[in-house]
Amino acid sequence: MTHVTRKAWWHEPLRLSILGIAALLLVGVPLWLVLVNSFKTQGEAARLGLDLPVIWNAASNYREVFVNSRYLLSLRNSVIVTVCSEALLFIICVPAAWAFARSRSRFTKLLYPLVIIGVVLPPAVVPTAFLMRLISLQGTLPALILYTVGMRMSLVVFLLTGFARGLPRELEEAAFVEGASKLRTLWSVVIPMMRSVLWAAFVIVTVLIWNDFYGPLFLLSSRSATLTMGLYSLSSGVAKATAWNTVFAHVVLVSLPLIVVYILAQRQIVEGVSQGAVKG
Amino acid sequence: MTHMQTAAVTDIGSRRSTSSVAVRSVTAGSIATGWWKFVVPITLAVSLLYFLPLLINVYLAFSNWSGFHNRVEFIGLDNFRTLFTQYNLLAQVRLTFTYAITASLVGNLLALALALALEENSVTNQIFRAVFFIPVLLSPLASGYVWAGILDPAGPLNQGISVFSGGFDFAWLGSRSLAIYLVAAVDAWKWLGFFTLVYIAGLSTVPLELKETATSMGANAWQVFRHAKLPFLAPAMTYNITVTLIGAMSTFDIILATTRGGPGNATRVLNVLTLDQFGIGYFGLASTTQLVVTILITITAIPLVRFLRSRELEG
Repeated sequence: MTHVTRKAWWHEPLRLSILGIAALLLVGVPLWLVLVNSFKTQGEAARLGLDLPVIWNAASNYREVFVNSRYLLSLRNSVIVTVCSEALLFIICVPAAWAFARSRSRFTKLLYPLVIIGVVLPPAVVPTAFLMRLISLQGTLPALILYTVGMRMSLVVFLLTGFARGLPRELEEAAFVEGASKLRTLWSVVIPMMRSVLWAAFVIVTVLIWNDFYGPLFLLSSRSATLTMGLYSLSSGVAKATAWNTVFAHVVLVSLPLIVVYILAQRQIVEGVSQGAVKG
Repeated sequence: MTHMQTAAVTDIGSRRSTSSVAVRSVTAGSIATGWWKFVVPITLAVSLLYFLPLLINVYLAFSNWSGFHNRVEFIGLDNFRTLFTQYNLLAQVRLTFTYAITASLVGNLLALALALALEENSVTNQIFRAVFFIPVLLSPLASGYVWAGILDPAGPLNQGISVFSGGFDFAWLGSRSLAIYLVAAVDAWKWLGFFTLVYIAGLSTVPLELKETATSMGANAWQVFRHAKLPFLAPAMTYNITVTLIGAMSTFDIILATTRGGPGNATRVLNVLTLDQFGIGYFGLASTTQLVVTILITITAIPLVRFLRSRELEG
């Protein structure tokens, strides 16, 4: 690579120092601030210092989050919403994306743009609450799951269809020649070839659903609160201005599940997202 | 596509050519038809979960639906009148656009700079990419609390400035003029790692020979960027600008965690206004505000996507 050798000797150290400082200020300091203050007493955390705690109060702070804002219950609710929405999304979108990529019928050609409008235009949450009230689902997890499916299917279809269009038709045609049904072909030929884009879509959609707060706030009651709602109700009270220790302990506990998954599967996640991005 | 797949495809292709013509025409028929079964679920889902709420929204926007009585009646333009007079709708619209444009501008400039710095696929760069991606995983709500702490008068930002000018004390989020730009910058920060990856993916489509030729002809870094890399970045740019701008127009979480619309109404963007109205039982009015958001996004998205697409074709 000739253009690399031509750079001045100070280029690389300078680049690394700027990147290092940026990473420290933009990622290191914010995360450290949250972590270290979640271990302090309320009075010490009010100073929002970056130094280590004088008195370690971690057990009490985290216990407060577990007990007072019922962490395990909202964790369970977040898991239910994420898993159920994801399952419905992929059951609905994978066959549809393949059909959009292959079918030449007028109906599917008309339907595709209508499905992917949602990528730019989110569905309306207030009338969704109105509808959910009509069918007595308002305030329950199924209401949020249905809203989430309506909200995210456009993105999933968009990512999958773009990828499916680029797949070679020959393998599918060969499966048809051997007498396989469309469903069988989808399962044993198409889905294996779509593994990378399915993974990318899964990662992106999981992060979006897990972190959603807008849908839950309008559609769930406090009894069915998800993690973000629990964080908000703990932090928006009068105590917020002073109780940084418990607010940050809550931020740690809300973010931890995704961060742990990220540490375990960091490479695949970054690659998956890049791939999804190229296709998107 | 991997080489192995390519090999498998050509192999099957050659095998297929030996099969009889009759079989092929039968399969061609079955390939072309019967797709409707695969789109039945999504047709139902998109009609009931997406278009039905949007349609009902139009009706509810002209209704007196509220938490105070059971009937939902048509009341004409009353809600719009209330929005313009009591809620100063135009100011909220301007605020929403200010937020969206700031978030998009800051996010895209930083992401582009970061992508150019991390373009080569070395181990250190992969580590940096992974580190800058961490905030993407935080919920916008949690990000809001993190930055509420940093920007707090007692927080690390003021502590840092105090090192240079002792006892610096400023309530960043309490400033009526600055607050909206700061919360928009938090939005940009949260998505930075994601949009950087999109730009890096775009940069990977620039042919290596092009960069080398440009450099060997004596082009400086800016010229290489402008004439060799930028044209290939157009699709990534289309994607990033559209997503940041449109996404930021329906922002909500970060503001609730940092300023909750304040100080005064200085950061009360349309979605926060919707929640305020919904929270006090004015459901019809909340629907009207939501309809305004829908209309704004639609009239922004259509020309934006068209403009950015046309730039892509020019290259």
